[in-house]
Amino acid sequence: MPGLGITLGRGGATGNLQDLQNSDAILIQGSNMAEAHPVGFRHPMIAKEKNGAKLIHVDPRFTRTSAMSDIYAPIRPGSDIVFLGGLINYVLQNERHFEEYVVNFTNAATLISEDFEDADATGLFSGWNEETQAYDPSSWRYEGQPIDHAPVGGSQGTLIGEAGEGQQHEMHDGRPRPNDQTLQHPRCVFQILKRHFERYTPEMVEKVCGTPKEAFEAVAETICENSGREKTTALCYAVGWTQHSKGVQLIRTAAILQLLLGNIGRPGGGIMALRGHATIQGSTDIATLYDILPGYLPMPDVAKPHDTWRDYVETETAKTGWLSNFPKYATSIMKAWYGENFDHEEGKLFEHFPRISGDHSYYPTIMAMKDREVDGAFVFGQNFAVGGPHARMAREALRSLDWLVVLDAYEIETATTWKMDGTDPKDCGTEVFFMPSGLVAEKDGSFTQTQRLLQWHDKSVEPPDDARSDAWFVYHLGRRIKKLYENSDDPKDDLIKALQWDYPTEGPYDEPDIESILKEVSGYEIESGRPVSGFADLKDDGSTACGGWIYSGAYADGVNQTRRRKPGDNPNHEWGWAWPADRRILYNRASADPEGKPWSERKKYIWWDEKESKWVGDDIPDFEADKPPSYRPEPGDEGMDAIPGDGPFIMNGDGRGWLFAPIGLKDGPLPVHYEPLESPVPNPLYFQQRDPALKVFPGRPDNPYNGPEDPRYPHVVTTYRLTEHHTTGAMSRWTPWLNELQPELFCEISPELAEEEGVSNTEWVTIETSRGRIHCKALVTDRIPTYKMDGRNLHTIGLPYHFGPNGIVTGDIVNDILPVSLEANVGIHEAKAFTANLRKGRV
Amino acid sequence: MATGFLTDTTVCIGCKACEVACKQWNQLPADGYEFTGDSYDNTKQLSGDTWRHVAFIENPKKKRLTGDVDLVALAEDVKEDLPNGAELDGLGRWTFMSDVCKHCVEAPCQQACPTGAIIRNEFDNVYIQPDVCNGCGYCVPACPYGVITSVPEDGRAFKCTLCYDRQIDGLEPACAKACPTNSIMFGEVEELEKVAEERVKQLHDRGYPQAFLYGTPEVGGTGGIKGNHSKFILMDVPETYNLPENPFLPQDKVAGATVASAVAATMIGAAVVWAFRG
Amino acid sequence: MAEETKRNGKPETSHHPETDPERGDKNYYGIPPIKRAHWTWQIYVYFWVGGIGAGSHLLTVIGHLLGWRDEAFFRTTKYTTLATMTISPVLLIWDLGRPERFLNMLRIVKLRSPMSTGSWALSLFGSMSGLVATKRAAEDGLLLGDNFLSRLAKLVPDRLVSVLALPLGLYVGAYTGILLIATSVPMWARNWLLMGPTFLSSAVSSGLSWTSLVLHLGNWGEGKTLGALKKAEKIVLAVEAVLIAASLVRMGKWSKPLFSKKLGPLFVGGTLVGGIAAPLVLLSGKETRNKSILASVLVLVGGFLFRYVMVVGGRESADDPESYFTFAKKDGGRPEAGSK
Ligand SMILES: Nc1nc2c(c(=O)[nH]1)N[C@H]1C(S)=C(S)[C@@H](COP(=O)(O)OP(=O)(O)OC[C@H]3O[C@@H](n4cnc5c(=O)[nH]c(N)nc54)[C@H](O)[C@@H]3O)O[C@H]1N2
Ligand SMILES: Nc1nc2c(c(=O)[nH]1)N[C@H]1C(S)=C(S)[C@@H](COP(=O)(O)OP(=O)(O)OC[C@H]3O[C@@H](n4cnc5c(=O)[nH]c(N)nc54)[C@H](O)[C@@H]3O)O[C@H]1N2
Ligand code: SF4
Ligand code: SF4
Ligand code: SF4
Ligand code: SF4
Ligand code: SF4
Ligand SMILES: [Mo]
Repeated sequence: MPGLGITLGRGGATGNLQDLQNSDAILIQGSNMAEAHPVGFRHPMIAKEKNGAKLIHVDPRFTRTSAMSDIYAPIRPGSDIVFLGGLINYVLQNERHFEEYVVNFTNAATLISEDFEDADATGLFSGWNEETQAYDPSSWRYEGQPIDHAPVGGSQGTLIGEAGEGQQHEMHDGRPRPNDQTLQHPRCVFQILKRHFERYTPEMVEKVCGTPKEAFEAVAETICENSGREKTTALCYAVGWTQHSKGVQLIRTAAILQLLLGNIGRPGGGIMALRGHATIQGSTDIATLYDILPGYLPMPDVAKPHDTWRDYVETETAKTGWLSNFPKYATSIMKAWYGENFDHEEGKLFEHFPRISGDHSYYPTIMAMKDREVDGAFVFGQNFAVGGPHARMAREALRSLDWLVVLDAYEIETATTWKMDGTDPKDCGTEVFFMPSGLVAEKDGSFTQTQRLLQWHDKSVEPPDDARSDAWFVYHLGRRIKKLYENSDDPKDDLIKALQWDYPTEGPYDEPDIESILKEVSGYEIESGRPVSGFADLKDDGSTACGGWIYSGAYADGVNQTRRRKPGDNPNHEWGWAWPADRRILYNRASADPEGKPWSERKKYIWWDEKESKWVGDDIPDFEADKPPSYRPEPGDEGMDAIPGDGPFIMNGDGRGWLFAPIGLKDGPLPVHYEPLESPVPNPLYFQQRDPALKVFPGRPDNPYNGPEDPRYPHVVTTYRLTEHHTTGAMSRWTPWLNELQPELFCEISPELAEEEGVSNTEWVTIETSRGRIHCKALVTDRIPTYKMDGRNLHTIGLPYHFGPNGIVTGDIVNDILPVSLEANVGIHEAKAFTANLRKGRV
Repeated sequence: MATGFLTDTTVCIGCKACEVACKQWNQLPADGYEFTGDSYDNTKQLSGDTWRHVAFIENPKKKRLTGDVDLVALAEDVKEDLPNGAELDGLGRWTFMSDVCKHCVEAPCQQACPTGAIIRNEFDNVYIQPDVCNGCGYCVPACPYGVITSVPEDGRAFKCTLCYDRQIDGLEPACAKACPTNSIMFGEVEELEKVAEERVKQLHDRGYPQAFLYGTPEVGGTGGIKGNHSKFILMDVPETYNLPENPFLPQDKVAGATVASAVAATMIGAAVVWAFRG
Repeated sequence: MAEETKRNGKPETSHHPETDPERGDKNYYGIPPIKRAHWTWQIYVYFWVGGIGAGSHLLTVIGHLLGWRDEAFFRTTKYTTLATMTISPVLLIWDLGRPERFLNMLRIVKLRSPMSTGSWALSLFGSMSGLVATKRAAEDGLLLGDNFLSRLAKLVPDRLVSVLALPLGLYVGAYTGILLIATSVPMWARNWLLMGPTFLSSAVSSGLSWTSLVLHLGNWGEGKTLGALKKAEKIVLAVEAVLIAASLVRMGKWSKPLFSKKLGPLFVGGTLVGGIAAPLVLLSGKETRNKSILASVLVLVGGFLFRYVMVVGGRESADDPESYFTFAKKDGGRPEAGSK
C-alpha cells in the first residue's frame, strides 16, 4: 500500500475499526463496506445511530453500503482521482484546511526544486522520458537536496510497506529545509498543490465522474464540517480503489485530503485500508511477496549495490527517521533464519542469498509459466484459475507446467484445469498433486487483519483424514529438502544447509508448534533465549534474532500477546496485539498540537505530560516516548535524532506527512487523473489518456486490450463481491447455505442499458471483451446509474466474480474477460474498470 | 418472563448472516438454488427449512436531481437545501428486513394444532415439539404471517424455535448473535418495547414520520392476536414487507361457526323429518 | 418470453413492485404472504366420503324416530355409515406426514381447534355408528352365524346409540367447513358463518342421494321410502343452493378462485348446474327410476366437486397476495370483531 506508505510512512490502515465509532463523518469510497466487511461495518453504524455521524458512500453502484449512508454519490468507475481532487480543490479554494496541522505536520511549507514542472494540460510531470517510458524523479526533489538519488525501482517492497529506505538520506542532512511557514511561496508544496488541483472543479467532477454537483458539494461540505480541531472524518477504502491502473495515486489523493483536513493520527480520523482475506495484511507483513523480506525490508537486488552483506546494509540504511535502524532488523532476520551459521560481521552466507533479477511478480510469472519458462509450481490457498485477471490465460499457464502442487481444502479450479475449457486430460501433461489442507479451525495460528491486529486462534479439531495444516506441509517439506542436501558440497546449497529448521513438533502427525514460530518472529536474545519486548531491543551485533521486526513484541515476556481476548473499551490493549508495538492508531503524535497539547478535549488521545516528561494517553505513543515537542534536531543528526518533536510521521525522513512525494513513486509526485487503460471516453482533463507508467504487454497477442473509445466495447465493466460469497467462490460455492442465497452468476445493469439491448430482468446476456466472453443472467436495476458525458450515455455493467465450474452452484468465470495490466508501483490489475459489450441471449 | 425479538429494519444491512446462522445452528438444509431476479432475495420466504429470511425491497428512483443521475440520498438535515424540490431520503432506497416467526401472543398456529405439539414454553415463546407433531399441517394455513410450514420430507411443521436450546443455556439466539448491526435485538419483551418506543420516536424526530412498530395490539396490525413477541420497526406499509396490516385470529370464529352449524343442522334435520313424514 | 415479462414496453426490473410504478401491484414480488394448506386428494375425498356418512346417519336416526321399518333403507344407511367411517380415518391418516403418530390427535381436546374436535367427533362417531352397524350386521347374519360376538352385538341399544351419535355425526358433516374457516385463508375465513352449514347441507344431500342411488340400483326399498328420499333430496338441495348463494355473496371478491379458469367450470358446471340445478329439475318432473339414478349421481358428483373447488380454491386464495392483504386490512373484509 505505497499510496499510504509514501504519504504517511507506513503502508497500513492508520487506525482501527472500533475507532470509527469516534468519527463525526465517515467517507466510504472504493469499498462496499457493508457487504464485504459486514462485521466491521457495525462500527460506522454505531457512529451513525448513536453519535449521529454522517455516513457517505461514493460508488458506481448503489449498494447495501449506500443504503445505510446519509449521502450516496454515484461515480463513474475509474474517476475517483477527479472526485478526490475535487474535494482537495474545494478544501483549498475555500480555505477549509486545518492550517496549524498542515503547516506543522505536513510538508506543505517545504519548497520544491526550481526544476519541477507540474503536469499541465499534457498530464505529464517534468522528468518523463518518452523513450524509457519512465520518470526521472530528480526534478521533484526538495529544494536544496542533491540531485543524485537512489534509483527508484528495484526493491519495490519498501514502497509497499514503508516509505523508508534509500530515499530518505538523500533528502535530508539535518539542516532545516528551505520552507515558508506562511505557505505563500509559489514553490512551497501548498501552493503547488493548490495550483495542481485547481482544474478539479465541482463542474469537472460532475462532468468526469458523473456525480451531480449537489451530491459532490454535499459530500465536500459534510467532510469539511466534520474535520478540524473538534471533529474528525475517517475514510474507508478497499479494492474499489486499489484495483485500478493508478490505484496507488488514487489512495495518495485520499491521504493528501486527510492530511489537509488534519484527520490523520487522531481518534475518529484516519484512513482505513480495509484488507481482504482473513490475514492478507499478515501475508504482506511476513512477506509472501517476492520483493520484500519480512517487515517490508528490501529484498536483495542484482540491480542495486547489494553485492556483499556490508553493501546491502549500507545501501538500505536510512540516515534519518526510523529506518536508520535497518541494520538491526536485517541482522536479526538473518540470525533467526541461519543462527550461528550467519556471521553478521562478514555476512558470508549472504553471497548465496537470492537476489531479485527482474519482475517476478504474480502476472509476469504466470506469463512465464505459459511460455514454458517455469517447470512447476506450488499453490497454497489461492485459486487464480478463477481469481486472477485473464483467468483463461492463467489456466493455460497451469496446463503448461510439468508439475503442480495444490494445497487446498477444496477441489478448486486451479487443481482441475486439466479437465476444464474442453481440455482432454490425455493432452494435458501437467502432473497435479492435490494435497488436502486443514482449515482455520483445524490448526493453531494467528491472523493479522485489516487494522494490523494479530489475533490468535487455537485448533478446535484435528484436520480430517489426510488433511494437514500448511505449516505441517512446509515444515516437513523443508526437513526433507534439508535431508536431500545434507551431504552436498556445492556452495550454492550452503543456504539450505545453513537454514535452522528445527521447530518443536506435537501431536500424532508431528505438527510444528506454531507458537514457537511466533516466538521467533517476535524475536529473542540468542544467548538466553529470552523473548525481546519489542523492536527497540533488537541489535545489529548478532545477539538478537527476530523473524519480522514489525511483529517484535508479539511474544513479549514469553506470553503470546496475540492470544489476549478481554473485551473492553477502545483502544483495548487487552485484545490481540497490533503492530507496531501494539499501537492502535498510527502517527498518534498528531492527535496533539505542535506543543503537545490535545487539539481539543473531545479529540484527546495522546499528549505530552510536562510533569512526567513523556507522552501519555490512551494508546501506545507512536513517537519516542520522551522526546519533548520542543525538540529540534541539530544539523548532522542522524536516525531518530533527526526527527523533530513536532514531526508525527516518524517513518518519513522529515517527520512530515508528504502532500508532495519528492521521491518514491513511479508515476508522479502528485496524483493526476488518467482514464482507465480501457475506457470508452477520452481523458477530459489531460492529453495523456492513461497512467504513463502503467505496465502493459503490447507484445502479447494472447493478452489483447480494448483500445480507448473502441466502439466495439462501449460499456464499462466493474467487478466486485457479494456478501454471500467469498472471492473466487472456492470455499463458498460448496456451502449450500450460501449458495441458496446467491445461486448463480448475474450482471447488474441499468434499466436504460436493458432497454437499449432489449433485455429484461433474469434474461440471459453475453458480455464480451477482446479476451473472451461470458454468459450470465441480467439483474436489471436502478441501483446501477447511467452516466452521461458529452451527451452520451455511459453504461456500467456490474459483475460479481465469485463463480466458476466447480461446486454446488456454478457460473462462468468473470475474470476470463479481464486484461492483464500492471499498476506502476505495485503491479495490481485493473478489475474495477475495463470495457466490454453486452448482448441479449447466449451468443 | 417473556422473551422475544425486536427487529429494527432501519439498521439492517441485508447481510443475511442471521439467515445463515439460523440454518447452521439448526442444521437446516438449503431450500433450493434459484435465481429469482427479485433484488438480492433468492430464498423468497420463510419455510419449514428457512426460519429467518431477509427481504430485499429495492426502491427505484425516487427523485431527480440535476441531469439524469439522481441517486443521491442525503442526510436528513440537508433535506431542505436541495434544489428542484428534490425529495431526499437516506433510508428506504434499498430496504432490508429480516423476517421471522412473530411469536404471537395468541398464536393461531398453536390454537389450530390438534396434537398439542405447539406450546408456549417457559420463555413464553411459541414452540413446536417435533416429537409430538404428526404432520397434519393444520397450523400452516392458520398462521396469519405464512411462517410455519410443513417440510416435504415428513409433513411436520417447523419454524423458529426462538433458539429454545440456546436460551435454556443462557445464550442469545443464533440469529441475534450473528447480527453485526444489532438489527435483531433479543431480550425481554417489555424491555424491547421500551427500546422500540424510543427508537421510533428518534426516527420520527429525524424526519421519518412513517416509522412505526409492527406487532403491538395498539399500533397497527395485530389486534386480533393481541400482538407479537417478535416485533419489527418498519419504514413502510406492512404489505411492502409481505406482512398483513391487520391479521386476525382465525379461531375467534370457531364458536360462532359451530353455533351456526348447529342451527343449520336442526333446520336441515327438521326438513328431512318433514319430507320423510309427508 | 421477454415480451411477456415486460410491462408498458419497459424492461422488467428487480425493483420491489410496491415502489416501482412500472410494476404496479402491492405485494412482495408476488410471493404469497401466507402458506396454503398442503391438503392433497385424500382430504377432499374424505370431506366427501365423511359427508355421505354423516348424512346417512341422519337418515338412520330419522328413520328410526319415524318408526320406519324398511330394512333395505336401514341396511343401506347403516352400512354406508360404517363404510365411510372406516375409509375416513384411513384417508386422514394417509394424509398425515407422520401416520404412525395419528393417535396424537387424541392426545388433547382443544375446543377452538376444529381439527381437534373433528378428530374426536370422527373417532367417537365412527365407533358409535360402528356399533350400530355391527348390530345390524349381526341381525343380517353377517357375523358368521350365531356366535358370541353376534350375540353380544345384538345387545347394543342401537336406537339409543344412534340418537346419541347424531350430534357427533352432524358435527362430522359440518366441521369440515369449520375447519376451513378457522384459517387465515381469505376465501374460507370470510365465509365463516355459512361454511359449516353449507358443508352440512351438502353432506345431507349427498347422504340422501347415495341412499336413494343404492336403493334404486338394487331395486330395493319401499316406494314410500324412495318417495320420501326424493322429496328430502329436493328440499335439502334447495337449502344447499340458498346457502351456496349466500356464501358467494358473503365471500364477495374473495370468492374469485371459485370462478378461476381452472375451477370456474367445475364449480359452476359441476356443482351449481350439474350438482344442484339439474338434479332439482330431474327430480321435479315425472318420476322414473333412471331419472332418479341420474339425479343421485349428479348430486354426488356435484357434492364432490363442491369440496374439491373449496379446498383447491383455498389454495389459490392463499397464494394471492392481493386477496389476503385486502382481507387483512383494518377496514377490510376480515370478520368483524365480536361476532364470535
Ligand atoms: N462477503 C465477502 N466479503 C469479503 C470478500 C468476499 O469475497 N466476500 N473478499 C474480501 C477481500 S479478499 C477483499 S480484498 C475485500 C474487498 O472489499 P471491497 O473493496 O469493499 O469489495 P469489492 O466488492 O471488490 O469492491 C468494492 C466496491 O468498489 C466499487 N467500485 C468499483 N469500481 C469503482 C471505482 O472506480 N470507484 C469507486 N469509488 N468504487 C468502485 C464496487 O462497485 C464495489 O461496490 O473484501 C473482503 N471481504
Ligand atoms: N475480477 C476481479 N478479480 C479479483 C478481484 C476483484 O475484485 N475482481 N479481487 C482480487 C482479490 S482482492 C483477491 S484477495 C483475490 C482472491 O483470489 P484467491 O485468493 O485466488 O481466491 P480464494 O477463493 O480466496 O482462494 C483462497 C483459497 O484458499 C483456500 N484455503 C482456505 N483456507 C486455507 C488454508 O488454511 N490452507 C490452504 N492451503 N488453503 C486454504 C480456499 O479453499 C481457497 O481455495 O481475487 C482477486 N481477483
Ligand atoms: S467473514 Fe469473518 S472477516 Fe469477514 S466480516 Fe465476517 S467475521 Fe469479519
Ligand atoms: S407467526 Fe405464525 S407460526 Fe409464529 S406464532 Fe404466530 S401463528 Fe404461530
Ligand atoms: S402439523 Fe404438527 S404442529 Fe402443525 S398442527 Fe399438525 S400436529 Fe400441530
Ligand atoms: S431464534 Fe433461533 S431458530 Fe429462531 S430464527 Fe433465530 S436462529 Fe433461527
Ligand atoms: S444479520 Fe442483522 S443486519 Fe444482517 S441481514 Fe440479518 S438482521 Fe440484517
Ligand atoms: Mo482481497
